[in-house]
Amino acid sequence: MVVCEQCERRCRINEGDAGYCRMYLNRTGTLEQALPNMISALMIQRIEGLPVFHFYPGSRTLSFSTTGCNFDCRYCSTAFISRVDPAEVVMHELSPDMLVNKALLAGCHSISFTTNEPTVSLSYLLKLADAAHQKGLHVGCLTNGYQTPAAAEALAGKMDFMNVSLKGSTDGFYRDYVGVDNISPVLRNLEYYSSHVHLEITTPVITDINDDQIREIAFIINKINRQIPWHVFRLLPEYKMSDREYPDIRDLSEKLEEARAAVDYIYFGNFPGSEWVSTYCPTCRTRLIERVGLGGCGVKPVNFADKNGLCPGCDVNMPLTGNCVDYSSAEIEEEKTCQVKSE
Amino acid sequence: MSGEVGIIDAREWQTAVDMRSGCTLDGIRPQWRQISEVIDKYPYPGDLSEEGNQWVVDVSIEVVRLFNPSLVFLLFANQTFRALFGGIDERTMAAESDRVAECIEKFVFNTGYEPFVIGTGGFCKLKGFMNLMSTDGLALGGGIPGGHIGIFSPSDKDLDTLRSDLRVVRLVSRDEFRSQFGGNDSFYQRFPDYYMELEDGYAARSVYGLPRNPDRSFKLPWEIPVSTHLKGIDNLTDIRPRIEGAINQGRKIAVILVEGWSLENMPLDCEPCNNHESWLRHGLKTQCHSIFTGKSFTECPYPPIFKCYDEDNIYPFSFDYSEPEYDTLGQTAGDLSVAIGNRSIIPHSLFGADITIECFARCVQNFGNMAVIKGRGLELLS
Ligand SMILES: [Zn+2]
Repeated sequence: MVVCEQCERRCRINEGDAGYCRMYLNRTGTLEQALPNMISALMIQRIEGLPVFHFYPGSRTLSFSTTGCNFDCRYCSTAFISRVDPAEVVMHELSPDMLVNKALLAGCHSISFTTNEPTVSLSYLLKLADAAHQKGLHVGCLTNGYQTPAAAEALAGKMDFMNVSLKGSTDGFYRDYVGVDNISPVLRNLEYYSSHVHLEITTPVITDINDDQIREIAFIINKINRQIPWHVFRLLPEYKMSDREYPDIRDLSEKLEEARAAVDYIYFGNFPGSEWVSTYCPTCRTRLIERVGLGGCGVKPVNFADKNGLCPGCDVNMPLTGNCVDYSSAEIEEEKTCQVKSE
Repeated sequence: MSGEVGIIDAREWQTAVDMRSGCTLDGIRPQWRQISEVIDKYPYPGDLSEEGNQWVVDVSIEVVRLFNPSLVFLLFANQTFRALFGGIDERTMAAESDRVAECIEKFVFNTGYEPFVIGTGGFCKLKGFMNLMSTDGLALGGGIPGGHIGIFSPSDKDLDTLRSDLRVVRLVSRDEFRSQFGGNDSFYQRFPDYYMELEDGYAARSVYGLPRNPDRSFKLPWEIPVSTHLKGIDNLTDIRPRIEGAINQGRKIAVILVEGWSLENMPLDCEPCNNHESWLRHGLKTQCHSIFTGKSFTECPYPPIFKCYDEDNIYPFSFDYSEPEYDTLGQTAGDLSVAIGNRSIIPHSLFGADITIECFARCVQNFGNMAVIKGRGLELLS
């Protein structure tokens, strides 16, 4: 029997078995990664589409996914990758070096692990980060934040940016809708990440399930750091909850307007035409970055008041890692100005 | 404001945008209200819902009643999403194909338009995936399996490997392609270093390959079925002049594109029409270009496959397309054209109708509806 120390499930895996996520195995008495160096999809997109809004805005990222998840969210929007038997997903071998080469060929500024949970393929992501940093590319991920402290430290040590999903505000919510015992590991890791890596937070909202927790979630973020960008994601009713109503945009907008008292940078997206995807100065309400919400994770920045995030209205800087960059700047041969984590 | 307005309906919430910049306009003008009411009244049931085609019919009957256009374009695409991702068997597919014919009948019965029906081609069993992720160069495949693949910066090893792969039926360089087909400069500026086609039934896994596993693949046919009273339709480029001629005679025509219908399974009387130029068999995009402009696909600014992510300038809601085509059937024939389709982006980008209503779906997720008004549509509603 081995204990998997990657996430707080801490699965005890008997010989011949796999952990909850089915991506860690015990075949011969040691913990082994299933499907090593195998990925399920590649896509080129704006970093805003992840969503990540305050890290080199406007830049281009190569996002990739593997398969599997350590959560079981009843409203999962990527169940076809995350909640199926990994053996059923069509996967292809791509070493970290080859993935980095793809990103360079595609004129990307960064590589992002998206769609499924990176904790289930942690060793690949860490090796990829080393390979990418050697070539001057940033690496980031979207995660549910349920890592063990050791895994969180390893991850934060290599990631240049992270977006952690804070799905609710209570143990009860995490128990009933996510399938884990309590929220506390996520809160602990958020606290840790906030001081070790560029951090943004996403909350998927679904009607009558967690829309009443907006105020509490804003309060949690406020306690960590009110300047962390917070993305409220209008989740389309899917998977085991496909009979639900679409979240009401007006109603949520009102709740988020109130939450501005606690969090400085609130975004509300995943519907086309959203006006909540632009960045406004929390002090004087000057629009600092104008973005267009395209639906389906598409967000396009169209105007920057200042490339370095300085508010022309009140001379205060928005919290920004890196400066605004031209989406196609890595297409042309020019010296990279990105500062990447050293190994 | 540019010459194109979009109205988005995300369910119980609407906004108007400038299609060129993507930026929000100050509200939906009262003149556009008829259109905003239609997209509110008919929420799109979703790509995987079996009611997807009924939505096209309901919306189109309402729009025809409101605007009485000379020309209507309909696109029925529900079969594609259901066949590829809906987990349905052959018997269900055949039954749903018959229901499309009923949808067309209902539209014709309620509006009196003369149908010009084009089957865009059928599906085939998925034989397998071809891994193009691990090439040294960058391979781009369309989001949906079948069709055209672009290879950028391939190594000699890549080319040797691909040439010896029996699943690859064609691999030609940009220069070879140009000497064969000719065409305009912007087409070739976007053209990949190598253009590739796989044998029908194989799907490429590359950048933009869908992570969802499809159950079937598109088949690229040499000929497609056309059902019409108009004579002399041998090639796709014959369609525009014939329809313009009929409209000039005062006839009211509905050009109806049905995905999944081929010469083998179209349940209407039909004739074959070439779906190729030389050895290139059209997929939906180049088909639409040829039909709606009446010109060779190489006169279009867009090759069958290109690095669409390089285009960061304008028309963000049109995804691949940042240069709208104005010399199209929809912009020149009769006095007003409308388009209704349940595949996103293609109707408003390629049909060129004055008023378009389409679903707003991405990766089979249903975000709502979108209407696009331009040209004579904006004049009418000013
Ligand atoms: Zn300010």
